[in-house]
Amino acid sequence: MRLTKHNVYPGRGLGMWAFWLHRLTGLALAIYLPIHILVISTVVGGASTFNDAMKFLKAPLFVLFEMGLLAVVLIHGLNGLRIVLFDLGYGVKHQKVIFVVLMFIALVLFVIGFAIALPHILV
Amino acid sequence: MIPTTVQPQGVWAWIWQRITAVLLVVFLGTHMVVLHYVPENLNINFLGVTARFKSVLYLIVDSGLLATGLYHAFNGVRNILFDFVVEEGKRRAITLTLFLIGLAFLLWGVYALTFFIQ
Repeated sequence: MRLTKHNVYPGRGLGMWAFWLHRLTGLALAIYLPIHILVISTVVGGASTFNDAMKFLKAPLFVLFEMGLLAVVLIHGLNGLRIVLFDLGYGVKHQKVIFVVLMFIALVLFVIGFAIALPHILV
Repeated sequence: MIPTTVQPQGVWAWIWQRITAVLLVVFLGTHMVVLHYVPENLNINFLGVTARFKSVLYLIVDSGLLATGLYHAFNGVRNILFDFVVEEGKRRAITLTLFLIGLAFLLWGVYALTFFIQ
């Protein structure tokens, strides 16, 4: 039988939302990482090329974009710990509660990170 | 229920995905805090980065983080694709393609990092 989107993503509960969220954030990060490598490798063109790139990326719009990145990393990283925990045989029965708690921690860390970054967005 | 004819395989890729996951939580977390939340590092520029790159250890650690992140990212993409592609031949092609792209980014990234060593 052919695997389709319909039978790969069959559920509707919170666990399936966690799964979707992990996929989408993971995909976003997999796209971001090569871009990040290309941006940092502007250093191959010399110090001033690198400095120009870094200066360009200090614009409020990019700092705001980095806040999105922070949110994505926090969601993927903390939910990833949940997955590792399950694979070690712990917590599957309480998967929903664990998800809610971890996402709350992600939210708290995001608010702290956002608060620190705010002066660099509102310039 | 997911109906499937997929052969069980790739347990090491699965294990490594978990190992790199835990490593990334620690080292990517450190990477982000050090580069974006330590006041004296906020203005990222060539001189600042070269100052940190004084020791070869830094290059090794940074390259290690790069390799860990690339493995986790590309194997993650492979995991997603494998949920939709079951044919053995196509899967091998996907693995080879992702491996080569990942390796190219790793080599290019490490090459770029050496430019910070003065």
